Amino acid sequence: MNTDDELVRRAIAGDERAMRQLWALHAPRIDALVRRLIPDPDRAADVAQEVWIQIFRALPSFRGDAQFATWAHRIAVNGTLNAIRRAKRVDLAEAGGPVQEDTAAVEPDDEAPFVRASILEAANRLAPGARTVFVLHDIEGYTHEEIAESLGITPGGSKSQLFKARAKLKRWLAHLIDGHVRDAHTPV
Amino acid sequence: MHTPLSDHLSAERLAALADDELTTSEAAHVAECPSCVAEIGAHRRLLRAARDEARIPSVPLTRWETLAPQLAAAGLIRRRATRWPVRIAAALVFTAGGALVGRYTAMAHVVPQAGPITAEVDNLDSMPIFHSAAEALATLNRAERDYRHASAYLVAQNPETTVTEQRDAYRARLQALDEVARATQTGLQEVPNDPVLNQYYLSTVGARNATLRQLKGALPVGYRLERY
Repeated sequence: MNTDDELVRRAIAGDERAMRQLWALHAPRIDALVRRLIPDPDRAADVAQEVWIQIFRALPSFRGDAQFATWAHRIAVNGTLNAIRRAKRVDLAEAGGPVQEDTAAVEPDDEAPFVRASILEAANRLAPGARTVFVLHDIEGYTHEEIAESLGITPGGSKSQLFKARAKLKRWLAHLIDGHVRDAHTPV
Repeated sequence: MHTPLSDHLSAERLAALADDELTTSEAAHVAECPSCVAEIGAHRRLLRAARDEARIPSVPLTRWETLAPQLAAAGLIRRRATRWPVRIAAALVFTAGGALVGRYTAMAHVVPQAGPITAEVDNLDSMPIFHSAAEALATLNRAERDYRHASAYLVAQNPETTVTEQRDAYRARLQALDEVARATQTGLQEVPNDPVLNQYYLSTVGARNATLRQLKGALPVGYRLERY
């Protein structure tokens, strides 16, 4: 069976079969990342396609220092974040400043838990900046330093966004994850 | 430092403790506060659920049928205009297969024909007639030599063939030659002294070795060929 390196070598030469194999091997994870960062399915599909073109375009710069999966994932993160920036869905310039409360339009006023909702569905209700940090850190496993670099914010800003996001998610998913919690801890 | 029992950890700090360690004073408080313990436990379960999310298989958003034309338009997929070496290899298989078919057809007078006569029989009139094995072998040698020259000419006429395409062509040719070798070997088990089959078998093995040398020559320096 071909390794990623062999597939990459052939894909750089324009071998469609090798490119297709690379796509088939890595699309589940790459596309899932795009889907988590962009809740709208149609928009996510468009961005995922753009991301794959970016990956294949950048292929000659792949040095093999990291695994192809890691390298491609990083391109996907940056490509998706750029797409979000272009769409002006999040003002990343403000992301490094004080964390803003989500607007009423994003966050429901009532605290009814999403009993049947998955963690992703709940995350989609976060403000875009908080969702991005939560997805990249808690789901995808990036460090605050890596996230800060990608978003152009400070690691402290990334942490602040994350902890706010976690607090909200815990509240929304309380019936799924809570033990017995005192009222004194219910976030204001 | 001791934190009073009523002075609970903040919501953000509790969220941070999903993957952070307690300070000494926090540990002292948590040791006596089941409420904070429950909060931290809930956050850790939430984090585990998030990490599990990354492992859930996901149906791709993209389809290769949609992606491929865009990659081709961007010049990232290189379509092959001609694949002469592959065609030649396929032709060789066809020729060898034809030789075997011909061999068994020649024996067909022993076995009654069950099916209709194929179109190939119509071409028999245009085929050369040999009066001895030596004459047939001479024709075979001449055809083999012409084949090699024609192959070399066609490859030379395809200057866009890249090293990768050459390697792919050599691999395809090797597979085809292996099939020919297997077919002739099978035939030789039944008729070991048949001169045509012997000639085909030896020619195939010779062509296979030559192709292996070409394939090695097309590989990067230091690359060890273990399979094709």
